[in-house]
Amino acid sequence: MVRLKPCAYRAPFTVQEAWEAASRWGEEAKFIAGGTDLVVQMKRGMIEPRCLISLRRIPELKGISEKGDALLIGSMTSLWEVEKSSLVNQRWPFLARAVSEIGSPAIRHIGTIGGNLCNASPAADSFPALLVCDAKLRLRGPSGERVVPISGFFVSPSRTVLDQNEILHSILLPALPEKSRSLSLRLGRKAKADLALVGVAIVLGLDDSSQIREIRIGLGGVAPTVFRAKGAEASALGKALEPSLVRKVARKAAEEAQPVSDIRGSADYKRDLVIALVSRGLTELGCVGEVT
Amino acid sequence: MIKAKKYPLRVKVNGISYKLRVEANRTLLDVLRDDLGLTGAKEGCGMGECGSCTVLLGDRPVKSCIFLAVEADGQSITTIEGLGKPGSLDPLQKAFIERGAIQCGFCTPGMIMAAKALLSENPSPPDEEIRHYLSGNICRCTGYVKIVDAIEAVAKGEKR
Amino acid sequence: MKGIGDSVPLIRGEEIATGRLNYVTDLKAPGMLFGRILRSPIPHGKILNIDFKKALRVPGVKAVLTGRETPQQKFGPLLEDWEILATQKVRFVGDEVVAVAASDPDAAEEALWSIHAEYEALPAVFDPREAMDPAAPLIHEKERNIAMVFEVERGDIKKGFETSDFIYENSFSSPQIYHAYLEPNGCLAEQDGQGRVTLTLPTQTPAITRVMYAKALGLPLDKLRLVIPPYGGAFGGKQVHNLHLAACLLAMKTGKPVKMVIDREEDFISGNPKVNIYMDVKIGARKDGKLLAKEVRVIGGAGGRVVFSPIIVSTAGYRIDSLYKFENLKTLGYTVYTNETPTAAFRGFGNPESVFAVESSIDMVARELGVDPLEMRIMNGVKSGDVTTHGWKITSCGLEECIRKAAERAQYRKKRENPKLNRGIGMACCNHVSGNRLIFRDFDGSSALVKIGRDGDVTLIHGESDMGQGLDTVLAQIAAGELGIPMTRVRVAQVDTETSPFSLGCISSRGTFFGGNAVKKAAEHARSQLFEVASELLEADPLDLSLQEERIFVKGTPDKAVSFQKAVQELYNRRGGMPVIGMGFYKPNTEIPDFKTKYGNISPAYPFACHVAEVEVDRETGIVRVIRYVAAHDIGKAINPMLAEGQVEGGVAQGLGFALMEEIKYEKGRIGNPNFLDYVVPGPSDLPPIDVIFVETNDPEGPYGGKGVGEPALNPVAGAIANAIYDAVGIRVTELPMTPERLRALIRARDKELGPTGSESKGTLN
Repeated sequence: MVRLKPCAYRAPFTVQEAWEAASRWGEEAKFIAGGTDLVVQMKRGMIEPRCLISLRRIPELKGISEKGDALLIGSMTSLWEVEKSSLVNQRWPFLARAVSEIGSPAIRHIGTIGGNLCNASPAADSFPALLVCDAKLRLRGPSGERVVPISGFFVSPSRTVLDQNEILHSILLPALPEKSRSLSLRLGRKAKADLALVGVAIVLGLDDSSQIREIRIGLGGVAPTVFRAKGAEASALGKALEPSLVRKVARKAAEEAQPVSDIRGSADYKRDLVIALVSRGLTELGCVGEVT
Repeated sequence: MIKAKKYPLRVKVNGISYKLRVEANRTLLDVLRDDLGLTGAKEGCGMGECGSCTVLLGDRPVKSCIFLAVEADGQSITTIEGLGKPGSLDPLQKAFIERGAIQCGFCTPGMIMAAKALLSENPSPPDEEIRHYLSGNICRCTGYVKIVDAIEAVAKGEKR
Repeated sequence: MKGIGDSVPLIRGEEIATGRLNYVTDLKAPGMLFGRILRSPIPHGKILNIDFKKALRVPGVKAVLTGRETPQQKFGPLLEDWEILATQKVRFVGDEVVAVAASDPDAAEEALWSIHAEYEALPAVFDPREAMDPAAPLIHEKERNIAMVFEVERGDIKKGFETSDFIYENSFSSPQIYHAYLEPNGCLAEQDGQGRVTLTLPTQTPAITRVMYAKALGLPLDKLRLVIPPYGGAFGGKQVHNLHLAACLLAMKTGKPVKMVIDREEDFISGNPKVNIYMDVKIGARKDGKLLAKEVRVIGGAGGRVVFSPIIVSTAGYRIDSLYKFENLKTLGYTVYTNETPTAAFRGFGNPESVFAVESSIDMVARELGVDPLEMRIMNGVKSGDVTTHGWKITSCGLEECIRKAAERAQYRKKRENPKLNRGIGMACCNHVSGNRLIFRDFDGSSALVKIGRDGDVTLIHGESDMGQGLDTVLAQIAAGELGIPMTRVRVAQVDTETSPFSLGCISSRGTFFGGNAVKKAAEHARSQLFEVASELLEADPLDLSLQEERIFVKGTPDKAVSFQKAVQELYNRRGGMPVIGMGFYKPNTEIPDFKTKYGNISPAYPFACHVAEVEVDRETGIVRVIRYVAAHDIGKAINPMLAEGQVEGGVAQGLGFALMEEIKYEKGRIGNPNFLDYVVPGPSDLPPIDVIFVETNDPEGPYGGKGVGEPALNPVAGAIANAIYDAVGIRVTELPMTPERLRALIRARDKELGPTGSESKGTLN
């Protein structure tokens, strides 16, 4: 049996109470959302919080609602709820698709989108999709509130810009550009329930003469944080989407990636996966004909 | 050694209400097995990977080995023991037995609870969906073949 | 009423499905302590000092033991190179150094953390091929770290190659693999007032393990009792383990029951992974496909001490010679110590590695010679009645039928002749044993008791070990069938060395074969006693009696009958209440092979199988999707088709992991992936539909004609998939597992050399 170290526990009903508990314990406290990452890290001995502050009772952190043509997702919304939400599936199906690859149902029923974001794994499945949506994260702390674009949220693996007592409150998902198409693709070492080696999310919009007017390529698992392959995007803008361009764009994206070799896969292999997934994504989204 | 503080845990487990006080560092699996004697849920890996510890929190499947017991305060839990008894088995239990979906049995309680959660969300899942839903439950003995068969049979209302 | 050939569900299925079956982890004993082991953090080193004073002061700690406090008695399952706790040296990361018992798990953990063990690190060696180098550091005092050598030769190997029209040579390898049974290993040990230790533990080999453990603990055999609870899978990996011995010592020291169940990570590093095997294969054939020569060198890593690796190495070297007739052969096998976790039995026992290597080679030979791969295998395959080159007597052989049926079901010929881009089909066969004379020096056999209670309920007492495969159910089926009673009236007694027969256990796919034969005989003996008394009651000749559906009646005049229960009661009344006990044993006429020549019939019957895998390869990612799988098994007789199917399906799944995903990854002696996050096992979405075909050859020795299936289920998988991959993309993968990364790297390298369409571009677009 893997033992957890003794710790204190608080289950506040409001964000204020949560901040109070956090400020009392300082660095020794950690907020706990679903716990599916946190408890594992505690068992592995990677972290040793002396106090866990549960966010599960705070109503304002829950729920999915529309805000104009954007979607507002409370940070404590379970991944399962995000995956199954009819709003998400109607308008951001590729996000639902990406979330559906996280862990397994039992993990997604308990794990939360906020917890997933704050855990800041470089390979997290939801991040490329959220990134290409230009999601905005609302952070609430005792000294005030701020909205951070997701592109500015992650600092490095497992580190975000959250201050000690700040809580991720909600995620705002802007509408995708008109007449654009999107998808997410990912590959692990087996069909399901494995961490992603590489994850890709693409938004593509073509103009009336079938030239690329909008392209966003989000890559996960191949850099310290999720990122947009801006060079690859720039190389595609204004061009016609056909097989040779697809290949070029995919290779460019792979060049921008900085994968590391680890126990899960070599950097070379991850680069190959970027090329494969980006080409397939672009091909599926707009291209006719086979890419070699 | 410091004596750790205990916190209230008011839960309904398999229909019975309990008022417990447990340390924050105890998992739901620990409390179910050690305090309530419900040893059906097993620790196969302790890290939420193998699914042998799966129980239902409300109607959600949860990996109880990575779920803090105190977080279940105010909720209701169903374990394999609460699903059915000899003489009045749940259709899933019956199907698993009759269709050879059990070999060593260590993964079985968790597997059946996951299947229960699946069928309450989707009473007629196709083969692919069953397999995806069970992605968090490892079985090393059966190759999953007869497990999927059993669940499909229950979904279709088939009897042996 | 159910009988032989019926798909009877597990007899304890209801207990399992309702969470009421207790495994060792669920057991509690009054005053129970919790045991833990401190393990070596380095792969090779001298123990300088162990300071455990602080540990003794942790509240709740009742005992701390080091090597010095263990019986100074070398022991081991094969060679005597084991210690319960290390005394002078540690030889792998995870080697047992200190054992602790405390009144609660937290105290035991704290005690471990407070022990300060000092080591002097010694140079370590990890690859058995490097460990054989004379300059390599010595792990035990064995020259070149070679624990054992295996050699066998038949015919004239030189001439064999000289007369071959084509020779194929290649090197193949397979890493350490983890059994990944769902129940981590553990036990509960107690010593009673008379000094007898009762050890409740999962073990596939109760009687043999007891012998070794008694020696290790310095106990007379009758002071050690092993009780086998239901357990959660084994696949070869739950036979002997130091954790059990450490728990016994702690129980003996404290006078309290000690429970020691290790967690998953500890099970990975201290367990008994599959032997890592390196095989050089050279095969020679005549242009018509006749195999003329086979030369093989096998090197296996033993790890820090020998468990069963030498026998696995020899199996990998020579078992397949009794599948295909190689006229001339030469095998050399080395089992070599390394500073890694000690390797042990894994389902297949060296045969899967050998099938992978040899079937890959045969596939290449068939292609080169342009001969039909089916006919080539059939031509070279052994047949019923053969005595093979190693003296194995093939009493029944369904190999040809398995090949033809599997090929037909999988549409093998059609798919080979009409290839589709990136798709391929591959075949591999195997032979195996049903038991092995080499398990125990003194005899090979099994025995059982059938005890009939006065109310007619039956207790079946056997000593083999149900590890979850359903052995108890099949044995109960046999007893119930022979006694004409419903299965609900048969209870299988827990295996307890105090009362169970001395049985060799469930290894080498012998459970149903040996156990079944013994139970059949025991039930027949019980039945004969009932017939004796019934013959008097019915005034008939015992030979004219039949027992069915709880009635003993005269054949031809079924109304002339007496109930089973009445006959039992009559016996009880006549014999002063003495139970009706049927006893039976099965002892085949097998042989311990000659030590030098290795010649001798080691098993009473040999099962065969043929598997066909169809794959689709994604060239850009290296991902292999097995889209269809057919497994044809010569099982002799399917006594319980549902359970037998379950064995094949489980074996194919495990084999798929073995072939495509699984590898224990070491980084300088440390296992880098001791968890299910990074040790990847197949999930439900990784598996193809599995088509199981049983070929019933009715073996003359087997119970109702049955033969083993547990290991044959896994043996051919890697070979079939490797051959399918070659068929799909023309890449011969020789290193297992054939992960996407590995295959992608091979494809990338080949494309670089030959261009992306390469010379292997084949087939039409789908």
